[in-house]
Amino acid sequence: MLHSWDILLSQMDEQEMAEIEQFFVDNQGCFANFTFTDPWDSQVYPSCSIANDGLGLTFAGELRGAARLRIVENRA
Amino acid sequence: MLVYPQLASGALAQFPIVKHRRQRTVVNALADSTTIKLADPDGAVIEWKLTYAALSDSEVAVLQQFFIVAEGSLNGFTFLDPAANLLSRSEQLTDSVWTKDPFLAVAAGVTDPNGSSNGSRISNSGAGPQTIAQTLSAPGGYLYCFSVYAQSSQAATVTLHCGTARIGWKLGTSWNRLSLTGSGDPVSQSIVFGVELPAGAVADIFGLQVEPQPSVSEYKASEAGGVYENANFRDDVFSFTTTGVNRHSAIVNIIHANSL
Repeated sequence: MLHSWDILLSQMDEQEMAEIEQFFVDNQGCFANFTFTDPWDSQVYPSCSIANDGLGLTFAGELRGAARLRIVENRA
Repeated sequence: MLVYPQLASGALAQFPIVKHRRQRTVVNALADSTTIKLADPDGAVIEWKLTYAALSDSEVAVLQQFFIVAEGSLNGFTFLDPAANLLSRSEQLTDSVWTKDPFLAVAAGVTDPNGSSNGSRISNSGAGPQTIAQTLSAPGGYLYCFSVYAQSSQAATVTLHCGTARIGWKLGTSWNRLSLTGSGDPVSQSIVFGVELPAGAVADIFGLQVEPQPSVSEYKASEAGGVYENANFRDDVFSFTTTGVNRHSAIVNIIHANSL
Protein backbone atom coordinates (compact mmCIF):
# COMPACT_ATOMS: atom_id res chain seq x y z
CA MET A 1 0.00 0.00 0.00
CA LEU A 2 1.35 3.40 -0.97
CA HIS A 3 0.51 6.55 0.93
CA SER A 4 -0.17 10.13 -0.06
CA TRP A 5 -0.61 13.28 1.98
CA ASP A 6 -2.34 16.56 1.16
CA ILE A 7 -0.59 19.28 3.10
CA LEU A 8 -2.48 22.55 3.39
CA LEU A 9 -0.38 25.32 4.87
CA SER A 10 -1.76 28.67 5.96
CA GLN A 11 -0.84 31.62 8.20
CA MET A 12 2.76 31.19 7.10
CA ASP A 13 5.33 33.93 7.39
CA GLU A 14 7.54 34.93 4.47
CA GLN A 15 10.49 32.88 5.65
CA GLU A 16 8.33 29.74 5.78
CA MET A 17 6.94 30.52 2.33
CA ALA A 18 10.46 30.94 1.00
CA GLU A 19 11.49 27.61 2.52
CA ILE A 20 8.55 25.78 0.92
CA GLU A 21 9.33 27.39 -2.43
CA GLN A 22 13.02 26.50 -2.18
CA PHE A 23 12.12 22.92 -1.23
CA PHE A 24 10.00 22.69 -4.37
CA VAL A 25 12.80 24.15 -6.50
CA ASP A 26 15.44 21.87 -4.94
CA ASN A 27 13.28 18.85 -5.72
CA GLN A 28 12.62 20.10 -9.27
CA GLY A 29 8.91 19.56 -8.80
CA CYS A 30 8.01 15.88 -8.76
CA PHE A 31 11.44 14.73 -9.91
CA ALA A 32 13.43 14.11 -6.75
CA ASN A 33 12.86 11.75 -3.83
CA PHE A 34 13.04 12.66 -0.18
CA THR A 35 12.29 11.20 3.21
CA PHE A 36 8.94 12.21 4.66
CA THR A 37 7.80 11.80 8.24
CA ASP A 38 4.06 11.26 8.58
CA PRO A 39 2.82 14.00 10.93
CA TRP A 40 0.10 11.69 12.28
CA ASP A 41 2.20 8.85 13.61
CA SER A 42 5.81 9.99 12.99
CA GLN A 43 6.48 6.99 10.77
CA VAL A 44 9.32 7.69 8.35
CA TYR A 45 8.78 6.96 4.65
CA PRO A 46 12.16 6.88 2.94
CA SER A 47 11.10 7.45 -0.68
CA CYS A 48 8.51 10.14 -1.33
CA SER A 49 8.04 12.85 -3.94
CA ILE A 50 5.96 15.91 -4.55
CA ALA A 51 2.98 14.65 -6.54
CA ASN A 52 3.03 17.18 -9.37
CA ASP A 53 5.08 19.85 -11.05
CA GLY A 54 3.07 22.85 -9.86
CA LEU A 55 3.25 24.89 -6.66
CA GLY A 56 0.92 27.77 -5.85
CA LEU A 57 1.95 30.33 -3.24
CA THR A 58 -0.50 32.98 -2.07
CA PHE A 59 0.76 36.00 -0.16
CA ALA A 60 -2.44 37.49 1.23
CA GLY A 61 -0.59 39.76 3.64
CA GLU A 62 2.15 39.74 6.23
CA LEU A 63 2.10 36.41 8.11
CA ARG A 64 -0.75 35.32 5.86
CA GLY A 65 0.95 33.07 3.34
CA ALA A 66 -0.69 29.91 2.09
CA ALA A 67 0.45 26.95 0.01
CA ARG A 68 -0.64 23.43 -0.78
CA LEU A 69 1.50 20.40 -1.46
CA ARG A 70 0.63 16.81 -2.23
CA ILE A 71 3.26 14.27 -1.20
CA VAL A 72 3.21 10.72 -2.55
CA GLU A 73 5.10 7.65 -1.46
CA ASN A 74 7.06 5.98 -4.26
CA ARG A 75 7.19 2.28 -4.95
CA ALA A 76 10.57 1.03 -3.81
CA MET B 1 16.51 47.97 -20.20
CA LEU B 2 12.76 47.66 -19.64
CA VAL B 3 11.95 47.17 -15.96
CA TYR B 4 8.56 46.58 -14.39
CA PRO B 5 7.65 49.82 -12.60
CA GLN B 6 7.34 50.58 -8.91
CA LEU B 7 4.29 52.38 -7.58
CA ALA B 8 4.49 55.93 -6.26
CA SER B 9 4.87 54.49 -2.74
CA GLY B 10 8.02 52.66 -3.80
CA ALA B 11 6.29 49.30 -3.51
CA LEU B 12 6.27 47.08 -6.55
CA ALA B 13 3.06 45.24 -5.76
CA GLN B 14 0.23 45.05 -3.28
CA PHE B 15 -1.20 42.13 -1.35
CA PRO B 16 -2.46 39.66 -2.37
CA ILE B 17 0.37 38.35 -4.52
CA VAL B 18 -0.03 34.92 -6.04
CA LYS B 19 3.09 33.16 -7.28
CA HIS B 20 2.91 29.91 -9.17
CA ARG B 21 5.91 27.76 -10.01
CA ARG B 22 5.81 24.99 -12.57
CA GLN B 23 8.55 22.49 -13.25
CA ARG B 24 8.59 19.96 -16.05
CA THR B 25 9.34 16.31 -15.40
CA VAL B 26 9.12 13.56 -17.99
CA VAL B 27 7.70 10.48 -16.27
CA ASN B 28 7.80 6.98 -17.74
CA ALA B 29 5.31 4.83 -15.78
CA LEU B 30 6.22 1.18 -16.03
CA ALA B 31 3.91 -1.80 -15.83
CA ASP B 32 5.02 -2.69 -12.31
CA SER B 33 3.96 0.78 -11.06
CA THR B 34 7.50 2.03 -10.76
CA THR B 35 8.51 5.16 -12.63
CA ILE B 36 11.52 6.52 -14.42
CA LYS B 37 11.77 10.30 -14.20
CA LEU B 38 13.75 12.86 -16.13
CA ALA B 39 13.88 16.45 -14.94
CA ASP B 40 13.74 19.24 -17.51
CA PRO B 41 14.97 22.44 -15.81
CA ASP B 42 14.54 24.45 -19.02
CA GLY B 43 10.81 23.83 -18.78
CA ALA B 44 10.48 25.72 -15.49
CA VAL B 45 8.00 28.59 -15.47
CA ILE B 46 7.08 31.14 -12.80
CA GLU B 47 3.89 33.18 -12.92
CA TRP B 48 2.89 36.10 -10.73
CA LYS B 49 -0.61 37.45 -10.37
CA LEU B 50 -0.43 41.00 -9.07
CA THR B 51 -3.69 42.46 -7.81
CA TYR B 52 -3.76 46.22 -7.44
CA ALA B 53 -6.35 48.34 -5.65
CA ALA B 54 -6.69 52.06 -4.96
CA LEU B 55 -4.19 53.04 -7.64
CA SER B 56 -4.00 56.75 -8.40
CA ASP B 57 -4.47 58.16 -11.90
CA SER B 58 -0.72 58.52 -12.31
CA GLU B 59 0.04 55.00 -11.04
CA VAL B 60 -2.40 53.31 -13.40
CA ALA B 61 -1.06 55.48 -16.22
CA VAL B 62 2.47 54.26 -15.50
CA LEU B 63 1.33 50.63 -15.65
CA GLN B 64 -0.62 51.26 -18.83
CA GLN B 65 2.30 53.05 -20.47
CA PHE B 66 4.66 50.24 -19.49
CA PHE B 67 2.28 47.71 -21.04
CA ILE B 68 2.27 49.76 -24.27
CA VAL B 69 6.07 50.05 -24.35
CA ALA B 70 6.42 46.30 -23.78
CA GLU B 71 3.87 45.76 -26.55
CA GLY B 72 1.90 43.39 -24.40
CA SER B 73 3.45 39.97 -24.19
CA LEU B 74 5.90 40.63 -27.03
CA ASN B 75 8.90 42.22 -25.36
CA GLY B 76 10.70 40.96 -22.30
CA PHE B 77 11.54 43.07 -19.27
CA THR B 78 13.27 42.75 -15.93
CA PHE B 79 10.95 41.87 -13.08
CA LEU B 80 11.92 42.22 -9.43
CA ASP B 81 10.04 39.57 -7.47
CA PRO B 82 8.15 41.43 -4.73
CA ALA B 83 7.93 38.24 -2.66
CA ALA B 84 11.62 37.37 -2.73
CA ASN B 85 15.02 38.43 -1.51
CA LEU B 86 16.68 39.98 -4.56
CA LEU B 87 20.17 38.93 -3.44
CA SER B 88 21.58 35.58 -4.54
CA ARG B 89 23.03 33.11 -2.04
CA SER B 90 22.25 35.24 0.96
CA GLU B 91 23.73 32.68 3.35
CA GLN B 92 26.80 31.70 1.30
CA LEU B 93 28.97 34.77 1.67
CA THR B 94 32.02 32.87 0.44
CA ASP B 95 30.29 32.32 -2.93
CA SER B 96 31.63 34.12 -5.98
CA VAL B 97 28.46 36.21 -6.35
CA TRP B 98 29.81 38.21 -3.42
CA THR B 99 32.63 40.64 -4.09
CA LYS B 100 35.06 40.89 -1.19
CA ASP B 101 37.85 43.39 -0.75
CA PRO B 102 41.25 41.70 -0.38
CA PHE B 103 41.75 42.12 3.35
CA LEU B 104 38.26 41.03 4.31
CA ALA B 105 38.06 37.44 5.57
CA VAL B 106 34.75 35.58 5.72
CA ALA B 107 34.21 32.54 7.94
CA ALA B 108 30.92 30.64 7.77
CA GLY B 109 29.24 28.62 10.51
CA VAL B 110 28.44 31.33 13.02
CA THR B 111 25.32 30.78 15.12
CA ASP B 112 22.62 33.01 13.66
CA PRO B 113 19.62 34.65 15.41
CA ASN B 114 17.49 31.57 14.61
CA GLY B 115 19.90 29.23 16.39
CA SER B 116 21.22 27.68 13.18
CA SER B 117 24.74 28.02 11.83
CA ASN B 118 24.05 30.19 8.82
CA GLY B 119 25.75 33.33 10.06
CA SER B 120 29.20 34.50 8.96
CA ARG B 121 32.07 36.25 10.71
CA ILE B 122 33.75 38.98 8.71
CA SER B 123 37.07 40.40 9.81
CA ASN B 124 39.15 43.16 8.35
CA SER B 125 42.91 42.71 8.65
CA GLY B 126 43.68 45.72 6.49
CA ALA B 127 44.52 49.30 7.33
CA GLY B 128 41.42 50.74 5.69
CA PRO B 129 37.75 49.94 5.33
CA GLN B 130 36.88 46.73 3.50
CA THR B 131 33.57 45.74 1.94
CA ILE B 132 31.62 42.63 1.01
CA ALA B 133 29.04 43.44 -1.65
CA GLN B 134 26.80 42.08 -4.35
CA THR B 135 25.85 43.83 -7.59
CA LEU B 136 22.35 43.32 -8.94
CA SER B 137 21.27 43.79 -12.55
CA ALA B 138 18.45 46.04 -11.45
CA PRO B 139 17.69 49.70 -12.14
CA GLY B 140 19.71 52.12 -10.04
CA GLY B 141 16.86 54.58 -9.76
CA TYR B 142 14.45 52.27 -7.97
CA LEU B 143 13.89 52.36 -4.24
CA TYR B 144 15.35 49.42 -2.33
CA CYS B 145 15.51 48.33 1.27
CA PHE B 146 18.77 46.61 2.27
CA SER B 147 18.82 44.82 5.62
CA VAL B 148 21.21 42.65 7.59
CA TYR B 149 21.50 41.17 11.07
CA ALA B 150 24.78 42.07 12.77
CA GLN B 151 26.58 41.81 16.08
CA SER B 152 30.10 42.13 17.39
CA SER B 153 31.79 41.06 20.60
CA GLN B 154 34.02 44.12 20.43
CA ALA B 155 33.27 47.78 19.89
CA ALA B 156 32.73 47.94 16.14
CA THR B 157 30.72 49.73 13.53
CA VAL B 158 29.53 48.65 10.12
CA THR B 159 28.43 50.82 7.23
CA LEU B 160 25.64 49.65 4.97
CA HIS B 161 25.78 50.56 1.29
CA CYS B 162 22.52 50.70 -0.64
CA GLY B 163 23.40 52.19 -4.00
CA THR B 164 24.55 55.71 -3.20
CA ALA B 165 23.03 55.68 0.28
CA ARG B 166 25.33 55.02 3.25
CA ILE B 167 24.70 54.68 6.94
CA GLY B 168 26.94 53.63 9.81
CA TRP B 169 25.77 51.52 12.74
CA LYS B 170 27.42 50.89 16.07
CA LEU B 171 27.09 47.19 16.78
CA GLY B 172 25.96 45.60 20.02
CA THR B 173 26.95 42.26 21.46
CA SER B 174 23.63 40.66 20.47
CA TRP B 175 21.99 40.38 17.08
CA ASN B 176 20.26 43.49 15.77
CA ARG B 177 18.63 43.97 12.39
CA LEU B 178 19.96 46.99 10.52
CA SER B 179 18.27 48.40 7.45
CA LEU B 180 18.82 51.15 4.95
CA THR B 181 16.47 52.41 2.25
CA GLY B 182 17.92 54.09 -0.79
CA SER B 183 18.63 53.98 -4.47
CA GLY B 184 21.58 54.35 -6.79
CA ASP B 185 22.53 56.17 -9.94
CA PRO B 186 19.20 56.76 -11.72
CA VAL B 187 20.67 56.03 -15.16
CA SER B 188 22.57 52.91 -14.10
CA GLN B 189 21.30 49.44 -14.93
CA SER B 190 22.95 47.89 -11.90
CA ILE B 191 23.19 48.68 -8.23
CA VAL B 192 25.54 47.58 -5.45
CA PHE B 193 24.59 46.54 -1.93
CA GLY B 194 27.28 45.90 0.64
CA VAL B 195 28.55 45.89 4.20
CA GLU B 196 31.69 47.86 5.00
CA LEU B 197 33.87 47.06 7.98
CA PRO B 198 36.49 49.51 9.34
CA ALA B 199 40.15 48.58 9.75
CA GLY B 200 40.80 45.89 12.33
CA ALA B 201 37.14 45.25 13.08
CA VAL B 202 35.36 41.91 13.40
CA ALA B 203 31.60 41.42 13.10
CA ASP B 204 29.06 38.63 12.69
CA ILE B 205 26.50 39.13 9.94
CA PHE B 206 23.49 37.14 8.79
CA GLY B 207 20.40 37.49 6.66
CA LEU B 208 21.44 39.99 4.03
CA GLN B 209 18.35 40.96 2.10
CA VAL B 210 17.34 43.43 -0.60
CA GLU B 211 13.72 44.18 -1.41
CA PRO B 212 12.25 46.47 -4.08
CA GLN B 213 10.26 48.48 -1.55
CA PRO B 214 10.85 51.21 1.02
CA SER B 215 10.51 49.11 4.19
CA VAL B 216 12.00 45.93 5.50
CA SER B 217 10.02 42.70 5.70
CA GLU B 218 10.85 39.34 7.22
CA TYR B 219 14.14 37.82 6.11
CA LYS B 220 13.94 35.20 3.37
CA ALA B 221 16.98 33.03 2.66
CA SER B 222 17.78 33.03 -1.03
CA GLU B 223 19.60 30.87 -3.54
CA ALA B 224 18.99 32.25 -7.03
CA GLY B 225 17.72 35.69 -6.01
CA GLY B 226 14.60 37.50 -7.13
CA VAL B 227 15.79 39.42 -10.21
CA TYR B 228 14.17 37.90 -13.29
CA GLU B 229 15.45 39.17 -16.62
CA ASN B 230 13.33 38.56 -19.69
CA ALA B 231 9.98 38.25 -17.97
CA ASN B 232 6.87 38.99 -20.01
CA PHE B 233 3.29 40.01 -19.60
CA ARG B 234 1.29 36.81 -19.86
CA ASP B 235 -1.56 38.54 -21.71
CA ASP B 236 -1.93 40.95 -24.59
CA VAL B 237 -4.66 42.84 -22.77
CA PHE B 238 -4.28 45.35 -19.95
CA SER B 239 -7.53 46.34 -18.31
CA PHE B 240 -8.28 48.37 -15.22
CA THR B 241 -11.43 49.33 -13.36
CA THR B 242 -12.07 52.83 -12.10
CA THR B 243 -13.71 52.52 -8.69
CA GLY B 244 -13.81 56.21 -7.80
CA VAL B 245 -12.14 59.55 -8.32
CA ASN B 246 -8.42 58.87 -8.66
CA ARG B 247 -8.95 55.24 -7.63
CA HIS B 248 -8.40 52.29 -9.94
CA SER B 249 -7.91 48.56 -9.62
CA ALA B 250 -6.13 46.18 -11.97
CA ILE B 251 -4.81 42.66 -12.22
CA VAL B 252 -1.50 41.99 -13.97
CA ASN B 253 -0.17 38.54 -14.85
CA ILE B 254 3.58 38.19 -15.40
CA ILE B 255 5.40 35.11 -16.58
CA HIS B 256 9.03 34.04 -16.62
CA ALA B 257 10.13 30.93 -18.48
CA ASN B 258 13.67 29.54 -18.33
CA SER B 259 13.34 28.48 -21.97
CA LEU B 260 12.61 31.99 -23.28
